[in-house]
Amino acid sequence: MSGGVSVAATAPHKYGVDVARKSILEMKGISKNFGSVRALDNVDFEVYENEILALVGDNGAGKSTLAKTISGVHQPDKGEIYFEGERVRISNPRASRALGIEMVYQHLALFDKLDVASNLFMGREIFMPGFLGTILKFLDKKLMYKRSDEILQEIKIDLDSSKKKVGVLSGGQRQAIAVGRAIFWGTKVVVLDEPTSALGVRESHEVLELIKELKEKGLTTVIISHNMQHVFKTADRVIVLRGGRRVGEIDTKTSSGDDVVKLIVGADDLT
Amino acid sequence: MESVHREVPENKLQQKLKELLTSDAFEVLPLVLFLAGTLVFFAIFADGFLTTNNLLNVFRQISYSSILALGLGIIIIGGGIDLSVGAVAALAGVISAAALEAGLGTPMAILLGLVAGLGCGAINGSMIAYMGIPPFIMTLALGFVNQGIIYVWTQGYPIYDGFTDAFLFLGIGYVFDIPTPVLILLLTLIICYLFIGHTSYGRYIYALGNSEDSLRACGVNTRRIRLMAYTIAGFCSGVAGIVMTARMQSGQPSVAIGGGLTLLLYSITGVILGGVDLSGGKGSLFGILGGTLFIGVLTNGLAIMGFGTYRQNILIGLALMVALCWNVMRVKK
Repeated sequence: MSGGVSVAATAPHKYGVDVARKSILEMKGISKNFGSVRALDNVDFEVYENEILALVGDNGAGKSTLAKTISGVHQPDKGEIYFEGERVRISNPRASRALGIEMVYQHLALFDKLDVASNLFMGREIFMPGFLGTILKFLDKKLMYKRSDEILQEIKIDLDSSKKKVGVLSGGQRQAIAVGRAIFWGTKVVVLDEPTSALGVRESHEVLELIKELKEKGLTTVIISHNMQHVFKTADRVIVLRGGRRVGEIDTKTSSGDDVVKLIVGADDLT
Repeated sequence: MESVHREVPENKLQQKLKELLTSDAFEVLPLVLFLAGTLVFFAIFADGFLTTNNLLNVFRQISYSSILALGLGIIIIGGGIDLSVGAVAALAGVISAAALEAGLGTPMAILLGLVAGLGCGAINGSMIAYMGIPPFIMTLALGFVNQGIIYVWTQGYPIYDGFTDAFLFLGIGYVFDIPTPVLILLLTLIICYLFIGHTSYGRYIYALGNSEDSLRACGVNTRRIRLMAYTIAGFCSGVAGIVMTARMQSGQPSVAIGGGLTLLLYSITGVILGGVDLSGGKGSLFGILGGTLFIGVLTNGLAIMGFGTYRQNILIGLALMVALCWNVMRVKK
């Protein structure tokens, strides 16, 4: 993990730990049971505006359950959620989208047999003006392709056309499109579930660079990851879950990957 | 880490090959070969095949199975299956014939036929989308229910009486030398194409066939879209049933035998030959029309050469198998 520490020193950092920060998303005392399994146990979780927060933990630590609670797939059995200071109830994925939270799933959630433009605009199509669009729901395909090409440029993805089928793209391009789709809609918070797990070295680097660029543009990002190097390269702050509980919070500027790993596996318990 | 900018070997050739294998043109390659092959074969060996009259005849013959195939194609693109399309068409046809016999008039006969088709599609769709019943079983069951209803009701006798000229026009009439059923087919094709190719609903049907979970994550009500696909197919079956009844100049219960199996075979073969991905998410209505056209050419040419329905069915069944093999091979890559 020594490589991670050296990179961490150069990681972008706007806030010191002791500066008062404004939270955009705050969850208090979240618990979630699946049958007799306690997936989340009284978890507090907060994301500050314009930070890159990493959510880490071993398999079964509750990362995905927490992420799905944020995106409205799961409802917590107990606990409160605040978004931009207001108490909210996120009862389904549509509700979370409406708040400005976008989730990019581990399995990408792309439509392989459809083209890039269809993927980027799925569920948010641009309609033709007038009767054709409002009543008959006719798509303005031309405008959608044009906007898609602009989005591709924005996320610096090297593709000659947004008419290409997503299924033939490389892993990095696909991930960039999934992220691009998530960020392009006036989104405030993006939750990325294992954004680099299926990618090669160069592709991972590109996706992480994209995430850092999005921060420059004011976006708040939550990354769920197993890869400590990637976490320290991008994240400002790390929250660690273990066995459904929050066991620690770490500033990537002042801590090392070893500290995080200790928290993840519960090394103190072993000694 | 950052210095390791090694190019991950992106096999260009592999990507190009993948692109080719998944391209739409490659999809319909067997269809184009089949169609060209049969056209040449029959032009040489079937006397009177290559005449304007006979080719128009081919189109007239495929009109109602093609309309069925369009509806079925939309369902398969949406990741479903409908084995009841033939039986729904049979029911719609018998109902419109019965309406004519009862003297309700042409508009009412058409309306009742369409409502029957829509209703069956909506029943299929709601049971599949909202109750979670597997489409294979649900539509098979509905097909046999329809067959039963038709036979209990008609006692197996065709309905001839009371057919109006206006109704018959739908099956045997011409508009500027073009048979009416062909025009109805083209109209259905255009409407279905505009729907599936140019509206958000159509796009959601494609997306549904790709991944229901992903579509739901995009905030789309996937159940409603599924219901919509089955209802549209039901409507197409209704249209097909009316055209069929007008063409046969009678309501024929025998169409429903085996849950409308012959019509189902024709339409499903057309859909798969036409390049629709059996696993859903991909396909073109024009491809489907090409597929049913091939079946029309095949059955017409074989009939001219003196081959009966049963031998034709053997060949159509075989063509379906070849198309399926092609489909599966491509999916595996």
